[in-house]
Amino acid sequence: MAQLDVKNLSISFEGLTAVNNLTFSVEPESIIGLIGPNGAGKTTVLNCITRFYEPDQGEIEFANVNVLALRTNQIIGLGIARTFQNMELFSGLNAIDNILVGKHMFLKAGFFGSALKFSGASKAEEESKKEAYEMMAFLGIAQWAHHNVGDLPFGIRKMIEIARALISKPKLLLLDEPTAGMMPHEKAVLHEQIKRLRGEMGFSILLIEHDISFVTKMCQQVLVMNFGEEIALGPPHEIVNHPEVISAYIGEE
Amino acid sequence: MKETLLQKTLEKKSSSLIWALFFAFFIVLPNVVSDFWTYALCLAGIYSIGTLGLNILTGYTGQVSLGHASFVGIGAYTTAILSHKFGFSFWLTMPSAILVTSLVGFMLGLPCLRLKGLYLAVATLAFAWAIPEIILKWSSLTGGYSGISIEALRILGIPLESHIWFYYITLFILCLVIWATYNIVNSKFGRAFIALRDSEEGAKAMGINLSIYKTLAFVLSSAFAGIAGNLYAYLVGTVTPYDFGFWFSIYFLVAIIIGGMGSIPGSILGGAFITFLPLLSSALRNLPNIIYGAMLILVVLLLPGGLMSFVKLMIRKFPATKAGS
Repeated sequence: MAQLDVKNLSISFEGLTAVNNLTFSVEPESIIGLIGPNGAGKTTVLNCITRFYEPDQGEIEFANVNVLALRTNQIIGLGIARTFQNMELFSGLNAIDNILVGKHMFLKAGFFGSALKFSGASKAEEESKKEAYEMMAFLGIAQWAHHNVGDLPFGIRKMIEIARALISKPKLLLLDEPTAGMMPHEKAVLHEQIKRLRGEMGFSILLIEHDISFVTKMCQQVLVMNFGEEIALGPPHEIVNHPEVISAYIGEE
Repeated sequence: MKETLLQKTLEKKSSSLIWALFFAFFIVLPNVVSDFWTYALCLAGIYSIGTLGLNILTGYTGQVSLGHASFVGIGAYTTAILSHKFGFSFWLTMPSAILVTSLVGFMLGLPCLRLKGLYLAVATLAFAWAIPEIILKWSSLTGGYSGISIEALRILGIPLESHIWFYYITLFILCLVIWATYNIVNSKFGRAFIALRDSEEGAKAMGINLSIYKTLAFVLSSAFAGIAGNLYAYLVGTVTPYDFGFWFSIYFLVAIIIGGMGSIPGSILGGAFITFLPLLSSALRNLPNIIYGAMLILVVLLLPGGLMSFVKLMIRKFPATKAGS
């Protein structure tokens, strides 16, 4: 039984089909890549899983729970955390508070307890803060904890967004173009960090990525999409030589 | 290493010294100024509480409200009616005012959930116009045009005759409200407010229920307005429908912009600003509103973070005062 099961997923926007009858699954602790040219519908798939979009057809199940019956803000409680293509960080918060927002659902503190600083709420807050620090230290970005995220370098912000998703201890991490805009050495660091984090926490990853070498290094399976449909599925070394994939990327000869 | 430790203790000591002086200043202040200025200081404290409430809703949570004064009005009328008609004491009128304004805030917050930006502003504007009209027309309860008079605040049965005691009570309640706001802002609730202001998508993905937190911000801001309204009724002694008109709501908005959006000390500066500037500019008879307008334009142009950004700049420029930051 797979961890995430997507069956016959279809969605269109004003008649334009974004995803058409897509079926795939993610096994526990695996890394599956989702690639394809711009506009292939990759992010749309992520937005269906995280309930930002309502699919026209299809089923999405995660650990035997019907994902489509839930609302966007309930998805993280299920064990699915995500990052965004455009990094949806909170510019008014510093780095550690950004990460702490990822802990929101799991931080047991009541409103009056927080407002009047009852010991239970303060303790829960302190423990979460410590956890966020440890996460930052693990990623080697602890020195930025109290900087405003807007002032930080791009690569650090990307790491903060991943940390914000991971502090919820997800079973499945959805990454939307994590290396976009990164320098080669930053990509290498990111690859290393994700490997270490997975070793520690053991989550699966659904990775949308344009950097093919990053995908081949990271993923066991790659799903290639074009015009909302699957055109190939298999291990990375097979995918890169697949004729349909090549034509989708560089066009028909 | 030793030196830095010494420096730290010194810094800590001078920091608590600065705080002690700061408090001493506000304790002594009403004893050295005239009764009129003590009254104005009370008003500034009350407006600061109201401004803090609006700052939670608009500054921290990003929901524009043009009807904040209406909530202050509802708090003031609840207080006046309960005190005048039912003889309730301060200990009962204060929680009642908070309860009533919170409920109205909740009821206004719900339909406003689907509205954003200018649309939300227009919906709250309708509220700002409606409330004074309702107060005016519902004369059997509110006294209509002439309003309601309210007896002086009594603590332990003794009426407070001088404004100095009223000042201390206002100062105490203001400190409580500041403390609670600080705690809320630095908890998961405050982070949720800021998160949904900065990125609704990011906030939703992190498990924040936008409806609950937007409604909570509405309720909180109304509750603070209720506290302000309660104190206002006792301080001024009468409430009339014209006290809580649309312009008063605009002043609260001016207060958070001038003081600093999403800033607690900024809210206090803003509350003081909308209290004292009209007083000062009317003292200089020939230039009343021109000064007010000019100040507004200058602050908005030169200090986009409000007066609070100026204070922060000064602290950074003169490191001697840094310990107080």
